[in-house]
Amino acid sequence: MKAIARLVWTYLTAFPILRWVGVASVASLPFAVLAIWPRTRGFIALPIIALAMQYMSMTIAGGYLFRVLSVPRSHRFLPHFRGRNLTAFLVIVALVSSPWLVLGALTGVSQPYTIQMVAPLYIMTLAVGIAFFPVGVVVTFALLIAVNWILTRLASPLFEIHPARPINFTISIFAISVFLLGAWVAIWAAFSVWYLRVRRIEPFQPVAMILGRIGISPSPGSVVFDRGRAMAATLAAAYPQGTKHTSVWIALLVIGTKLAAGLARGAHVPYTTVIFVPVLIIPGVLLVAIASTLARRTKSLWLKSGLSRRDLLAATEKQVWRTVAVRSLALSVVLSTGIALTYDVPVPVLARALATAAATATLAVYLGVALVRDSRLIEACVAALVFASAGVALWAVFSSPARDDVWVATTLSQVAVALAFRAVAILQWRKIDWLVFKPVRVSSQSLR
Amino acid sequence: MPQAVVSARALSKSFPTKHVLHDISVEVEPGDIVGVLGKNGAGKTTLLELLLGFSIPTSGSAEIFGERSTDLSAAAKKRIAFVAQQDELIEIFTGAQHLALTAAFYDQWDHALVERLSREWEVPLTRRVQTLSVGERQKLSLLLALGAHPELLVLDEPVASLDPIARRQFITEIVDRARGAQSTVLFSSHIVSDLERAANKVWIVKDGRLAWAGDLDALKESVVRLHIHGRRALPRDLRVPDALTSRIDGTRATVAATHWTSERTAAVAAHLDADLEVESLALEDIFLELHR
Repeated sequence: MKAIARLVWTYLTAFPILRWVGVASVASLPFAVLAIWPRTRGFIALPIIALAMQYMSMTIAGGYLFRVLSVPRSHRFLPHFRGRNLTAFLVIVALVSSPWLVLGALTGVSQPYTIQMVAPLYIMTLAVGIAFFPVGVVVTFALLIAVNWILTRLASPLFEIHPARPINFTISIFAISVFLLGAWVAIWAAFSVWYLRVRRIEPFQPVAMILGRIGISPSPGSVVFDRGRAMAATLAAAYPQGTKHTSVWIALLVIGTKLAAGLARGAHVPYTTVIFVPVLIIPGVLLVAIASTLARRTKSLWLKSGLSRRDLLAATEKQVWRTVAVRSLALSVVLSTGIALTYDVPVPVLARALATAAATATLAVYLGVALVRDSRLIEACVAALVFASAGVALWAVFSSPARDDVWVATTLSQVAVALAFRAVAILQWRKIDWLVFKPVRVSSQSLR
Repeated sequence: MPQAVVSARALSKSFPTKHVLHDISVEVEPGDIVGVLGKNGAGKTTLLELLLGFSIPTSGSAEIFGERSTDLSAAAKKRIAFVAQQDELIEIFTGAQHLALTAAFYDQWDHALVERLSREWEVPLTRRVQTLSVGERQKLSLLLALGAHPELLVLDEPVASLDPIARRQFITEIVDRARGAQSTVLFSSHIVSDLERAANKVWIVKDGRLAWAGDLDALKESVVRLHIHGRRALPRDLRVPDALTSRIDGTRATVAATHWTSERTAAVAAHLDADLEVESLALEDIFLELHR
């Protein structure tokens, strides 16, 4: 039990930002309860954003950490490591789910309309969180399609969705919950059996893995490096990804989205916001972490590349925009366009939402590269800033009537803050200290 | 006098909650092999990374090849290789891919040397890094550093996980390279016997300060253990100059002292009215005496 508790603690604290985000979201829980209490009717958006912030960061970061911890061969020899790792991860999912379940139960009895916002966001985040890193991209996509299908076909009594092909029987909320829970238990049971038996877990390389399976990924010995490719590979800690890889990735994304859209076509969902929010915010927000990770790796280029600190910032910026930012934006564009086409969202609304996604991504990139002091408090404030700004902008886009003034002001502010942080980054990188700003590593002592 | 390869003047480093290094002044000349010794947390890694410009000093300055460490030119950096305590290898790459990756940065990459060393050290180049043992990873990291043919090679705990044969091979290699001032080596290690075998200079870092920076032979001559046999009971304060530790038991005492000279032997013997036996110490014993 102590070993599992230590692992759980590692999950909660491995990334500095998680501690602060966790504290902020726990602190926001009473406000969430107050906001939905029948007699108070407060402003629910703020606590939902805080909870979403904690839930998304914890489950997604937890999934990433699960994978990272599973890769080293030496960890396999720690006593019962894999069983304990599985248990610890499930404890994390339960821990971070509990405030949502409380919130969901309260909204169900007090303000039935809010459950339409809370529940789908929770379900989708859960699907992404527990599957994206531990299991893989394909399973995540399949899960999202399944959730989409369930929401638009079976879950109509709960979410007031008008299905494309109405069913002639009523399914209770309880039955839907049991079905969803059962599906995840089945997936996790199958995954656990595989995880406990397989000899080696590969590092998370979604594009490389998919391309490897279809024969496009490089084989050992076939990689030729010039200086530019070597820089890119060192920063990404992966095979250099060219335009061909990005194109294949986007093509796979389009096919998957088309498939999902085909399944849901014809259904009417009154609250598209909750479907849009994750696909517009999560990819952008992940960019903060990815940009920061790339920036931390510049240490290994300081001597090898011969570049100055300022030039290393430029190299990081270039690498982020050319690879991860392009894919992050492509993910937002393809998925949100798919959703918009499926649910007949007007083009101007979609365009504004995508502009917000692009502004959020820009903000995320420059926050990621500007924060080189390794200050947890500042990181937490940044996370709140990115989530809150994107949340407010999307709320303005999807409000009825739309609050264009708020949307314009928020989106322009995001871009202005991003540019300000770029200037901050240029100043900060003159004095970047790689003894402080170094790659995050998990001590093996915390895994025993 | 040749230009110092590395020099530091009054170098200090503090973090918000900790003062790590205080007032470090050192010089490394071409062809030197400098061993850096210190307990865990003494500040060895901080010192090496400050010298290489990875970190900004709180005060003081460091120079490599006459250039400020934090603003090294590309030309100066090409002459340096560094192996960090925690390797920076990419898990999914094979050893061969790592060699290709690193070679892309260096015009002077020595393919022949790398081929020879990978064969002699039995580095598995076709396997992915994630499948390598800690020792194999360390060998690969060393290979990547040596392949760049650096004039200054800085190694932070480079041999901690190597077996004795691999350690011996590595030390032979760096000693050969340093011969004739071809290369200068700065390395920290806890394996004192290796350091004693390879280094001609030693820096001992204690609580963020340099307890010793100079020739290894001079250190060995300087730090001694005195066995004192008094003709009557010895005083509680022996007043032995530069004493590090002392144990007194009636008419006998054992004292470790630094900066020792033969003149001091005669003076202390006369002062205490005692016979003195001066014992030379191995580096490991010197290190222990300095940290008692």
